Amino acid sequence: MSVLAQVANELTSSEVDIAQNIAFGIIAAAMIFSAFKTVTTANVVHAALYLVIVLAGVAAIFILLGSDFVGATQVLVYIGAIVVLFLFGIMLTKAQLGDDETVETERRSMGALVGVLLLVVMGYALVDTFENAELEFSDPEPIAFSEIDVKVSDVPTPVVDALPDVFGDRGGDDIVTITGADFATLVPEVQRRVPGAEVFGNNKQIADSIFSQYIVPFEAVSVLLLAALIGAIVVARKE
Amino acid sequence: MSPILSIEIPFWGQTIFRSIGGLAAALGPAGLLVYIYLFKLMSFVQSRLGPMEAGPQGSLQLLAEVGKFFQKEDIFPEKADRIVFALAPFVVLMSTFLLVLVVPFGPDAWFVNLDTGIYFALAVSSVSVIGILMAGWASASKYSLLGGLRAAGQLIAYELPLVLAVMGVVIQAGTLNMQDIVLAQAEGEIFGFGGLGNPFILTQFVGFVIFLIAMQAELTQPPFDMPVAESELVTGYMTEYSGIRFLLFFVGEFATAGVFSMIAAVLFLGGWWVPGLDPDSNLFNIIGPAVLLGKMFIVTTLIFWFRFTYPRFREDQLQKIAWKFLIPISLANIVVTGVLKVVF
Repeated sequence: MSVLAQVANELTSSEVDIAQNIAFGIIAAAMIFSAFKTVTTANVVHAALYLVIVLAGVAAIFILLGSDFVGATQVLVYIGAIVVLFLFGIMLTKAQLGDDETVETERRSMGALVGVLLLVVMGYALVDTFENAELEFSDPEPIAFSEIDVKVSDVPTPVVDALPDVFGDRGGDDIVTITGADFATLVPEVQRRVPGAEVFGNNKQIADSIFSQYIVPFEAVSVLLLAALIGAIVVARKE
Repeated sequence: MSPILSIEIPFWGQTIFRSIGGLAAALGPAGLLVYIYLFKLMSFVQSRLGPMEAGPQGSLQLLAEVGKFFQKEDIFPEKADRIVFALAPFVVLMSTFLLVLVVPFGPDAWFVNLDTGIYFALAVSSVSVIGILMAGWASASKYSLLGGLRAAGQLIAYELPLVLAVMGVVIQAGTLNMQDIVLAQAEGEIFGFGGLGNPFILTQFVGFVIFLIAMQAELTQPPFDMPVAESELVTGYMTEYSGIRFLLFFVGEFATAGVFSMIAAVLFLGGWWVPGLDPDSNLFNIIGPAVLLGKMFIVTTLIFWFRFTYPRFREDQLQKIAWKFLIPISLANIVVTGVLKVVF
């Protein structure tokens, strides 16, 4: 096999990777540009709007990774609430158009220092963690969470009838594995009708880990936010 | 892919179909709503004929209106921040088009079948606030700025009851997926009687009422139209807009009304499903969109009925309704629903 054919072969086996990489490149470029503009523009409202693009880019990357729950949370919390609050505050206080002459530049070197420090720490952590890890090429075969094992006797008859290719003439206690295209179209069906059939998707994993493994930090953060909320009300009401 | 037509369509083809479908699903209802409600029902309520000249019963008036806006000059105020001013209507419209993505029209007729369907919808609906604030600020006009601020304050306040009202449905259905919410209603039973399924308007009536009120406020429809109060603020954040950009805001307003009504129909009225038919049958891929459109009209009739009937609230009354009534009631609704879910 020529080198070219080999490359072409690899390309087809990881087409999704390429599309993802291109999308990631575009999003990352937009994010880097907007992040620079956020800290360099002298117009406060523009800075907030550039921040929207950065945060939307983060959400887009999460969605690109198939994690739509985290992506939607990013949009809801950061764009829908925090940046709106920023804009709200800016417009209630000084909503001048054009560049703000009073934006201070004297702390820029300090800010740059913090930025570089953050980059070094995070870069080191990334390199330290993944130094010897080998990236696996994405396998066109169905991956683990798109499979389901069901006992034929647990599956209602209409589903069995609808899936002659999968079930064939098997019955009783035979275990049947449904994968690939059959999974995509029919497993929601089976899952709905078969109690206890476990399908692992992203949301379920997130929910499971938040409410079991990380329950204590999760509750602690909730209490912290509540305290901040009450604190804000106390500070705002000076009666 | 849908088994209804056994044609293999490549991914880019599906994407094109979905894009066209999404545009139609957002803009079609917008046009219908403007004609049926704004032109005709409003005239009926106010004892007048409404537009009658363009086409039979004035049915082509919509085209005349759109043509009028296309002809008008796209004016930028002298001191405006031109780029932000120009982009603002598109941000508002973008939020609408993202919203329509998750609405299911049949067992296989959907644009995107996200696991987090309704959560995604509520998240992207909050993006429109950014567009409104952009418009209010970039217009360089005090009316626009006040309108933008009022809109932002209102939309933030009413997003909470909106989300909390949906929580009851999510707890009952046990899923965030819009498709599964429809199926949960189709296969649900009320005290062992499954003939009607379980449309959540019956068991989540409190949630439905809260959702409707919050939706009215999110859409800035009267009686919650303080951001565009014409007697105080000209037209709020839209004051400086003219021509096609004003049209975009206008289309965005009615398209969002349509899409939000579809979401309400999916959450509370059973979506594309009608009682007595098997929710898995292929028939629903064909009649589903029409059924959903019909249910959408039930919700929009309520919205526009309130719009034509009630006078505008005061700003402080508006905030009081959200924070002192709707949010506590919807929190109580969540607790009660959760307890009942565990008990039954």
